[in-house]
Amino acid sequence: MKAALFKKESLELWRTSRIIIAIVAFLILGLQGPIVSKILPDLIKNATPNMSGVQIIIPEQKATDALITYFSQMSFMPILVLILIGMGTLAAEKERGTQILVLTKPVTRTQFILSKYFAYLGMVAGVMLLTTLAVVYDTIVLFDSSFNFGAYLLLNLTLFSYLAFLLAVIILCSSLFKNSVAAGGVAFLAYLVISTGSRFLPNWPKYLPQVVFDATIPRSLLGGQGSLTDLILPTVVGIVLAVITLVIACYTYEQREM
Amino acid sequence: MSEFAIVTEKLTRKYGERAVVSELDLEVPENSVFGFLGPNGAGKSTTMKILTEQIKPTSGRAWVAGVEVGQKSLQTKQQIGYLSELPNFYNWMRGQELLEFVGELFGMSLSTRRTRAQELLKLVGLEKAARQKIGSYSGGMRQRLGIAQALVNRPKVVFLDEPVSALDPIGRRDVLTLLDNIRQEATVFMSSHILADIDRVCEYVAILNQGKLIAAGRTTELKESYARPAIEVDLEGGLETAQQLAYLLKAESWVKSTLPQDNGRLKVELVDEKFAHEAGQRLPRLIADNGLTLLTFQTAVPNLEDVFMQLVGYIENPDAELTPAVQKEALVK
Repeated sequence: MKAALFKKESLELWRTSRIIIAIVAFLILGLQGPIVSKILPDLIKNATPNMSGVQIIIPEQKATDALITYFSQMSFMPILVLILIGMGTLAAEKERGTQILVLTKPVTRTQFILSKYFAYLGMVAGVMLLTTLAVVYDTIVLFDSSFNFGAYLLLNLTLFSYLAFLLAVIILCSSLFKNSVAAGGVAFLAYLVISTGSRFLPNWPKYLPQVVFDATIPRSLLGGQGSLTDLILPTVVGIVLAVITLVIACYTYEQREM
Repeated sequence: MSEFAIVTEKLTRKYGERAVVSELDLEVPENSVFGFLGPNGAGKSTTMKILTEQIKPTSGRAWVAGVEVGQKSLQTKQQIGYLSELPNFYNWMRGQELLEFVGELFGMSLSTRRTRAQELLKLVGLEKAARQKIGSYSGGMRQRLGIAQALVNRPKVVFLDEPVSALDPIGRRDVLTLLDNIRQEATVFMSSHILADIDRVCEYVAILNQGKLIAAGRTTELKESYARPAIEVDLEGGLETAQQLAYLLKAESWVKSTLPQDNGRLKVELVDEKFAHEAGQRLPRLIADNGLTLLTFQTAVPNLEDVFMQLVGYIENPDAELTPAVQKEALVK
């Protein structure tokens, strides 16, 4: 990575309002979790006023339910936002010809890719930190603090490692195409395969970072049961997958011609 | 190779079976302004891309500022400046910011790159637009900024692909003067379709056609060797008068071709220089005998366009008749 390039990428994310878009999208989608959990019983009651004789029993929503809803909210829309924001990072530079400006200077293609990746990763880290704090505050205000805070932080770290992996996939797709839309389309397909494919592998989901979207393990961890070490392997797997994808992206980009 | 800024040896680039650049042997003297000419698709941009390490050659070798190209050492890139044919920049950046960013890529300190950016903005006449976003720049301003960014690192060799194509006449004049001044500290390797511009600033030229080098050398020497002897006459009246004289000259054995122009000017190309005397006597008489009014009569100064048209025209139409000098050169090639 080259400091000048990293600074330029970060500045570009700010000046083109991508950071703002990411913050707004993550916060809205994240905060929905506790809010929806809080108002869900009332919503259902109000939606079925005339169903005499039908009794719907809704278990009382707790802070744990709110946080599980938050994690499940983070499994689709925020990732779609990341794909939309990141799909053109290399493809659009190729399309517009701006990469020639940089790559004819003393910069390797690997430095170019890594600077982009880490600038985006920094943005996701910042946005995730904000969302994590906002959601926990929201949950405590609307419910209570009867959950394992350490488990909540660790689950967010696992989620972050999953996003780091998907970000590497987006960068890889963007490096393969000259057209942002094509890059975004393939990145979305890759995301669908990654998110649904793991379900077809027996016993595997608990070793993958997608474990945070499955209610079972987060519920037990947030409820103070189970071992937090259960999340270490999925987090490490997410990081390893990100590194492997980045290595592939750098290698293929080095081989391609401008 | 120290006296040459760029050297290529049998440089070849193929796309599939098609050779876009074929066994190119080139030597570009240091601190010269070198014009790289050729029709569209001749392989000029591809050669520049190889020399600036954007693409790899299929075979052959090249050196820029004494460093072999394609060794992935970044050493070549430290020594060069490059402006692409269609320069594009980050529209969200400001002019000064872009130059400072480029300076940072070359490892310059903050104060050095800031001073250098201001110097260059002044040099290309963009000091007033320094704080403006590049997105609001006109085509000409972008071209000037492109030239400025190619000079940030005080390169030993500057590659400019069509540097004046988007500029108005005043902008072109300024940039050409600038290029002329740069030669004291760098070698300028430029391509252009505007032959008059190349003629004006380049002391050396190379002409490429269908990927092959068809001529290279000092501009003055090429003009002397290749340009066909010609006479230019200005007649009273417009195109019609010039066409009338052109028609009359068809019967003359010493006339190779004629080129009537709107302003009544007629360029008469001679079959050979030895007919210059005969032409000098016959032409004014022919004009007077046919009731036309001669305003000026002069020997045409050979220019690069003549050389280019003759060489490239010959390659594209091998049946065309050539001057003895070109015949000799063509046989050699």
